[in-house]
Amino acid sequence: MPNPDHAISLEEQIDQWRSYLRRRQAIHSVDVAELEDHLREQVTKLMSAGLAADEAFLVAVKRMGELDALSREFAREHSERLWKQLVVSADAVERGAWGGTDALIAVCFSVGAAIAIKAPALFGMDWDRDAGYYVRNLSLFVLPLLTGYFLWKRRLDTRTISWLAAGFVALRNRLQLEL
Amino acid sequence: MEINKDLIAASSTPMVLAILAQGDSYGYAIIQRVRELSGGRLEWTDGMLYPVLHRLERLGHVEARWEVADSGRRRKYYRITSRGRDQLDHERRQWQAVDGALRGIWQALSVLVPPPAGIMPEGA
Repeated sequence: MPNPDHAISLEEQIDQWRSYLRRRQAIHSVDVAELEDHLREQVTKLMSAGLAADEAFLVAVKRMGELDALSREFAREHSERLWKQLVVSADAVERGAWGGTDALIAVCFSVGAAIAIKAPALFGMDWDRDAGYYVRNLSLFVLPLLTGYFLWKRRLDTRTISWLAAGFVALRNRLQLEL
Repeated sequence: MEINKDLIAASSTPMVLAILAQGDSYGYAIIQRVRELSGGRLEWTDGMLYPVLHRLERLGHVEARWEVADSGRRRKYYRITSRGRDQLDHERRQWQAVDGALRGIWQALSVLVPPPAGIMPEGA
């Protein structure tokens, strides 16, 4: 009987393998499902031949073949899917792994922007009464956070960051004058 | 003995079509059948079968359908079409022509020199 601990880790391993496959532009989710059925049958056969779940998984993955080669073969056959690889740079495809983090960071920055725009209310500004103030300084509330997001996203070097920081300090001084 | 990749690739179409001509099947079972038929000498990388199947599907030589297998998982089954059978006949004639020509020369050679093991030692 398979050990329940193994069963859990096998599912995790298959999940991970599936998510690697899904990042390949040339392999669509319906193909992933087909390959997963194959992988699972192979694992089952190997386990019934006496291999432990993790061993069976490794052998099955190895037999499935190297992912780059596999994804090239799929791209060759499904050439209509190739344009994505042409448009999205290899670098961006590699960074597909950041997808989840990316969304999270974007949400954090947008929450930051929402807080920033509320901050002047603490100093007695009223949204309706001082609409002009908000309009004048809208970019100041939103831009730093938007820039922050892009800084993170594009991983700008520290030199660029310090120039940007100087720009914001200048803007802030202007704001104090307008207040 | 390792069989050249080009030969494996070239034989994949008639092999898959012939297996499907014996009855509907799916990826994993097709690979197992290839291993049996070749005594394990045709080593396919499992994943590579699928682009081959998808090409045959695109060309109309096979058609696919999803079914729920005994395992409870969804499984993609392939069936050979009449066009696929025509293609199989065509491939078969080509392979027989190649095989026939080679047989001729093997026979001529075996009259002159001892069997292959003598000419080409393993690993040469």
